[in-house]
Amino acid sequence: MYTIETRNLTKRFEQKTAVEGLTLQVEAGEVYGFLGPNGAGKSTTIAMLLDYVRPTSGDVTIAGCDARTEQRELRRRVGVVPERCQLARRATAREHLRFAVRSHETSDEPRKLLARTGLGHAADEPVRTFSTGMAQRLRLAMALVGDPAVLLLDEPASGLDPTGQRELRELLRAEAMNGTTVFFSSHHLDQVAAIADRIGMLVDGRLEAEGTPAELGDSGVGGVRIEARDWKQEWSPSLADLPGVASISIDSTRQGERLDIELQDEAGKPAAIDFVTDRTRVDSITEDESGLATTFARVTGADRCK
Amino acid sequence: MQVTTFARRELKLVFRSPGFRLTGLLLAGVMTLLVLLPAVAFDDPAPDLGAAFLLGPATDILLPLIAIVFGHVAIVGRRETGAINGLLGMPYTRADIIYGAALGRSMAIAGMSIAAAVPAVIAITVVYGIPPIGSVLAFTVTTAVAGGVYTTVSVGVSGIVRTRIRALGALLAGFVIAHALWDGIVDGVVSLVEGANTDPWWARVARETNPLGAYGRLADAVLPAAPHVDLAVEGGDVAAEQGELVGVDPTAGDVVIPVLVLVIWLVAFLALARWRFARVDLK
Repeated sequence: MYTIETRNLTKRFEQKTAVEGLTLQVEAGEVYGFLGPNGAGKSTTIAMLLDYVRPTSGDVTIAGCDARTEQRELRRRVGVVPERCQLARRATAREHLRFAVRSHETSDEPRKLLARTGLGHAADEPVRTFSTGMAQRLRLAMALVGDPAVLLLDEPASGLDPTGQRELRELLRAEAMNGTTVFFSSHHLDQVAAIADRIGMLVDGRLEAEGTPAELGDSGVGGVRIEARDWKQEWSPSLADLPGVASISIDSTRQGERLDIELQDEAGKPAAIDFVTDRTRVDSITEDESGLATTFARVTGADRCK
Repeated sequence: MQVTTFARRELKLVFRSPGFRLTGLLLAGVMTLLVLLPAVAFDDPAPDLGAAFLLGPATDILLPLIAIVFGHVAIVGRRETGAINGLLGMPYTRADIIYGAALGRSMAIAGMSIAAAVPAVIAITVVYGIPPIGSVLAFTVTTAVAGGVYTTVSVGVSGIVRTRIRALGALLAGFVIAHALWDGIVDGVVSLVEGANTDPWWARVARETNPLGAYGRLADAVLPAAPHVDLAVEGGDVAAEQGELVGVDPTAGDVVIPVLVLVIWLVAFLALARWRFARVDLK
């Protein structure tokens, strides 16, 4: 019996298939990171888990509840941080928590929940004075009301500064240690890799890779990421054809281009670095020992050669 | 239980809105000014005449518009901002949200209409004397109930459509039809279907189903009969004079049918909103 289980979950909008044939199984106490680029279908999947969006086909079970027919019970057992959710601007943080406590019919103390999410100092301030990060902390505090069996978080780190992100990771880890199942989405590899027990990589609505960070990292020898300027597309096939290079993907950045190079063997690394540095101005070179970034680049790469 | 918890929160949030308080002051001000009109037009007007002026543009026009303003955003506004996802992350069903929003906001508008009547009734008492308390109380309750029904219809429309602008547009169009065009549309349909000089039973039923008309008939039935006003032109000046009381005692039908009409509007829009909102994707 899994805490979160989807079977062949599919959602088609008028012109687009957002999620296709998604089968997921998440065990109790597991931290599952749902990774994918923007538009991959992560939010649609979470929306289907919570019955915000009705699947075209497939089933969802969370904490023993059918998402379609047992909504109220499901929402008692699941704490939610939606991706886009405006709070009541004139109400204070404490009032939001009181409302959540009354709604869950529990006896949680708002003061403790606010302190736990680092908002103890702002308990009586109206939400309209909150920064994006403070509002996100409040959403998290509300999600913890009722000691949920499952936490579902859609891009929970958005708006949080590095300290907030670290605190979020610690908090989610602590929840998982207490037996809470954590399912969260992100398009930032480092956030997912830092905390997840298992990672699912979603691309164009399909689960392209799934496993522990170690498993996913082992699937490639490793890789190298190069931030370069004035990269020309005509060089890409030559780079991808170098001995020891498995594939490359290229994304545009504000300063130039980011080249994610997946390696077949170690010999490819210096060859690839030399190839790029000989032709362009290189801002940075990051070597990925784990291979996780390479796997992510491989499954999500929009501009891929080889 | 969940509905009342959500309704309480809704009531609190609406009461806290500065716009709501300002609107309440506007409604109270207009009602008070209207009941003072007889003091300008007549010599020594009776309290009944002042009380009869409680029913007027403030309750016929302003109150439905206020209900539209505060009702139309209840569901679709939250869909646009994503706040609905936060609410549905708590142990609420979609039906709870519709019913809770309708109940909370209806109570807020009903409370506003009762509060707005207080200064008007005080003005009547000070200027004309003590009005018929029973009638004034019955009128206040009737107006509060009508305000609640208008608000529920607005929340219902908010649960049916996809954007705030559509909700507002549909409700304002409905208001204009109910306020100014209802009987004309019914008469037009009658002349198209049945020909001129006929008044079939279904046309009479259709005229009765106007929610604003239902409130007007109900309010007429509970308020004291207005004195007939005689106007005379003397040397270029218009002189107004109170005559005998006109009108007949209301029958049970004068009360029951409008109440039934208001209940039908309330139930129909709640049911429609629940049905529609249960089927939409919230993304």
